[in-house]
Amino acid sequence: MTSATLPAVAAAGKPSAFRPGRILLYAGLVIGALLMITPFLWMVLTAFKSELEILKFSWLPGELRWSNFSEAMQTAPFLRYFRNSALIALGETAFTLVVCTTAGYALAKMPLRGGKLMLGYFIVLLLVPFQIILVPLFMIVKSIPLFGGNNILGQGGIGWLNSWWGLIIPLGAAPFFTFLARQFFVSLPDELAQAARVDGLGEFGIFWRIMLPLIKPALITIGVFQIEAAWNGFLWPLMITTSDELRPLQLGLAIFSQNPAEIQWPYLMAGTALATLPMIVLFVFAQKRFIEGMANVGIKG
Amino acid sequence: MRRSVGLTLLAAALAVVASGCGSGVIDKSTDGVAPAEATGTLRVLLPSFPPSNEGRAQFQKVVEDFQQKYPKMKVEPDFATYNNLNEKMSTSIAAGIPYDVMVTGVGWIQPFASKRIFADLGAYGLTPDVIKEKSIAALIPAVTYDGKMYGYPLLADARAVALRKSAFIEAGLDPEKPPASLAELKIAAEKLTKRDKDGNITRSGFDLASASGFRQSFTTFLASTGTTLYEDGEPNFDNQAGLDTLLWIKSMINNVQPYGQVNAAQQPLVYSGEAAMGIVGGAVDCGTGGKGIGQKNCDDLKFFRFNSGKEIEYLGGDLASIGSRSVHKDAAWSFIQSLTQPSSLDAMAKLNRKLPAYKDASNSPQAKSNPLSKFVADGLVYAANENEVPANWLEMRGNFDIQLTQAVLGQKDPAKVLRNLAGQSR
Repeated sequence: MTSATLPAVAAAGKPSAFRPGRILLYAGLVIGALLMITPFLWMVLTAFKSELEILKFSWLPGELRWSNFSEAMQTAPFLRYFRNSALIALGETAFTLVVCTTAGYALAKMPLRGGKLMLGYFIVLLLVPFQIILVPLFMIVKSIPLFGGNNILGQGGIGWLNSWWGLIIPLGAAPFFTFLARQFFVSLPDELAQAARVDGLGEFGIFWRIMLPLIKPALITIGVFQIEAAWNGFLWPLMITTSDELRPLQLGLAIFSQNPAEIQWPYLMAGTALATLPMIVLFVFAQKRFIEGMANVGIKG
Repeated sequence: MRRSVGLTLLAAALAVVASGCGSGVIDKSTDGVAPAEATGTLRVLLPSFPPSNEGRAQFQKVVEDFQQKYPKMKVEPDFATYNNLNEKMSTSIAAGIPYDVMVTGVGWIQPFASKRIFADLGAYGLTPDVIKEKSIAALIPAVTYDGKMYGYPLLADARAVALRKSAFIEAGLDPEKPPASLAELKIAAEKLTKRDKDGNITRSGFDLASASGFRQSFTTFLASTGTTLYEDGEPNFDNQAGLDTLLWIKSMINNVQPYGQVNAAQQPLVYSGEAAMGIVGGAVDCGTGGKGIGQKNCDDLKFFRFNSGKEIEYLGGDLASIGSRSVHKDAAWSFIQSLTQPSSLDAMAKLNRKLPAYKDASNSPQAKSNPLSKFVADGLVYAANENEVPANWLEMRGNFDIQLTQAVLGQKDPAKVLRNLAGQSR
């Protein structure tokens, strides 16, 4: 009797591959994936087209014009722009890892008076659009004392404008990454820090020797996010640089849309496709960290 | 321990001081100094040279010409685009380090001149007669504010209308007699519009080139009735001519062209055959082999101008100004003179596919390079634009685009929209 009923129970418990909910889920995911992939696909296909082909909408180019890539790269010193973007991305990321992790640790683990208030302040900062702080930030950067011909009061020169300092430092200390770091530190048990304090370890030692090694995956996540943000930066480098020696790739690509009525789409898309490559490679290798990072930002403590 | 901390702090302070020593000091004034002795850096903001290798090479020639007179002065270009020009200017002004030479467009002079950002070029002998004699007279209102001249034209950016001969013949219309008035345009456009069996437009009869807003097309159509958008900075569109023009645009949208229609390349639809007629820019590349629209396409096009009482073609342009807070005003004026050398203007015209703003633009290399540039260059005497705009024009441009669209789409009463826009202009 029992033996006769068991298989029936097992069959009922086995999840069906064709459940309506699952089908709907996959359909939704496929639609979402298509929506995400389509602009990339259009970009790559457009990079191979002629100007006449772009006038009329079609997906596939008549022939693959590989020359669009080489001609686009010869239009301006793109190798320099690539190098500049890489320097900015690495510089900003290194600065972010130092500043934001220390700030995040302080917010998460140090017995600060008004710590909750400061955390609230950082969360509020997340809501402020960059355009709002553009002019004040520009003026601060211009008034950095003893740089760019400025005196001790920050006057008489251009400060950090048109310099690597100005490109790297102001966007390195981002509230988002501080908040992200804080969220990772919160997930570590307080007992670790308390035990280290009892053993006489200083606060920086606790941070450096105990806590930081435990959030290595978080550092990778923050690094990946910041590299992506710095690589795609446009407005800030545009505002503070005048010299071509410092301008990153995203500004270089604007050459092809100098005249809004005469945008050179094949070249622009060819350049954009090449500029996107490093970020796609980064995502392929670090997609787990991207997803983990967002999952860990969930409200804790 | 305390000693080592102190030494570390001292070293850090010295490093900061050392790294702070460098160039970048804001210059002392060179005005009144002999050009050969003047030193400093002339900061130039301009969207007229793309920062491509070719653009830089052409710009360098202008610099070399300038340095023949000012051999000790450096020139620091900032190659901006019109999309970010406003941000570049605003931040530099806010930070107190405005550019010495600024190149802007039609409609930009009055807002900045009213805020005393630009210098009066009358001090350098610039008068309307000088522009009439050497440049394009139609751009005089664009560089005038409160009776003074604040800019010198570099490039002219004209718009014309094009029709496809084959579409006209197919519809039983004579391509040699293009419609010109608003009424004629509507009749022809309705005949040229193709629809599928469900009534959806498959080929537009007329491309108003207004996907992002109706400000420029409204200005153009209104000017073709003999009414300018502004007169001496005062609104001139809150009247019967303005209302008729707006209602005409409303009658065209979704009748002969779907609202917001634009192709993937954001190019005139008449070039691709997606429209039988339409507004086009000031140059067409008839090249073959994938670099242009092809000779066959070009041969099927005929260009004409609007004429609903007054023959006109819309004209924008690049205008050079001097920053009022520049400490190198004399050098800046000299640089503008180098920019306006015919060879410099020809190079800029080619790079931007616009016309050089010198007297004989019809015979310029750019005009001779393609049939559309030749057509608009020959028609510069018919040039029209917003005219002398109010000081808040940069803000008004957005207001026009939004509110005219609301009127065209039937969301707001057209008469009220025009009244509102007139009230907002100041």
